[in-house]
Amino acid sequence: MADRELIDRYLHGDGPAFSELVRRHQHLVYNLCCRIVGVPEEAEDLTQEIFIRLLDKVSSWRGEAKFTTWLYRLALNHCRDHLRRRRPETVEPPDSLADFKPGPEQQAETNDIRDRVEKALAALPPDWRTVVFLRDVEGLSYNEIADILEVELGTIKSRLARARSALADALNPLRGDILEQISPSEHQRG
Amino acid sequence: MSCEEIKELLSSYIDKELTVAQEKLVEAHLLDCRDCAAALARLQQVVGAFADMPQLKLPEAAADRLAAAIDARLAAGQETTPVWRTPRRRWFAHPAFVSVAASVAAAAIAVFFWKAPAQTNKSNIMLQTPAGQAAPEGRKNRKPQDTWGVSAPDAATRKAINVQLDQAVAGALPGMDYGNANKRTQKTPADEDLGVSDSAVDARDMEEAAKIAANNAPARILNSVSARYGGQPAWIVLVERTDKPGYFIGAIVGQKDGRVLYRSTRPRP
Repeated sequence: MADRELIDRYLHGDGPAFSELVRRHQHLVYNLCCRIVGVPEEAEDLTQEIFIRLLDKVSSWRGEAKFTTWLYRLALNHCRDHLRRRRPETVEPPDSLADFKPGPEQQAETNDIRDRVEKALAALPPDWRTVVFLRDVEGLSYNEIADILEVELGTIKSRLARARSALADALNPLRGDILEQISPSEHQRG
Repeated sequence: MSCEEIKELLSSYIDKELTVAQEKLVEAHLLDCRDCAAALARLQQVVGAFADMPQLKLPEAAADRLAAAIDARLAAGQETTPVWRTPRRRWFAHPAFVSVAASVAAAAIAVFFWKAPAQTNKSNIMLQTPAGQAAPEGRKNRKPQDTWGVSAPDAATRKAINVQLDQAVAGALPGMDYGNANKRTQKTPADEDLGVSDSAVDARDMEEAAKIAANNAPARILNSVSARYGGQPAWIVLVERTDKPGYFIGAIVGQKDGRVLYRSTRPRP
């Protein structure tokens, strides 16, 4: 059943339809909260708050945007408010990342580069982290991201460029390896 | 174009978000510039590192809390059938008892709802069994006791505990109407029959629910009331963090299809 249909049913008094909508998207919202706020316990609370808020706000979804686009916007705005309220001294994103690594087996497979990138991502300013998350983790198009964040396409491009560049700088020690691996001519063939 | 200008375009180049003209400029530059090509490789490595990043899943206990909070909100929006109802003993529902029961219900139910003392040991143990009793060893002793082997405290203490329970549940599950301390003593016994003996939930299950509710922090069960949740027998448990006195959490433990379910929500500060 499509999201739209579940929402229609809920708006016509079918409570379980909303519960189904929650089950369907709870991991998406939690993943987003984890990546943006960096603390799993806070992400759990935020996930709950976001869906409670959704209960009241879902009737204002007009269907002109994809539901998930709309949900991303609601969730990100909530995370942004949360980060604004949070006192700076409680923020320890790089260390807390260890708490929401995948299971031990998957963790063993996690390569060094991804580890470093994750930590660097958590250390980015929230606006930059958000755009990298939406593009590189969630794989959304520039247009979708612009819709979600309600900013110009050009802003997305420049924000993403700066964020990725900062991430690349955070991986600076690897630069020598890369230079050896890839020469300009090899890149052109690829 | 300068290297600086090219580097600003590399991110969009990776995503194929440049105009055709821009793309040609970048590619022409890359043929001759080892530095910009290396910069591109570094960016590609960053992008590639995210490609197979796993989606973080909401932990099961948190998903249960979420579902309970949503259910509670949904129930609060439906005035006709509140999800949490106050229970009645089976014999109360018998017609022969109704007229008599109506007159004595207030006192009887007030006692029925009293489950555990507030003034139990405040030591910092992980989770105190109600009234200091050991949890049953096997599944044979599954039935929760109506009172946990203690005499009820005086009316004022009892009322205070009930108020705490109401606040914990109301704080955790806004809009939930399962009857407040005063209302509970006023309800007539005919509306719902919860045979406590139908419930396969035992004290150990309540402890488990409390543990989950407290996120494994030191905590103790203060009080509980039996109820129905989703049409099934259940218990609402008031949990207090022993490391944070006054921090109450409402938890619910019930069963469905033979499985024991735990749900809890954290009260907002």
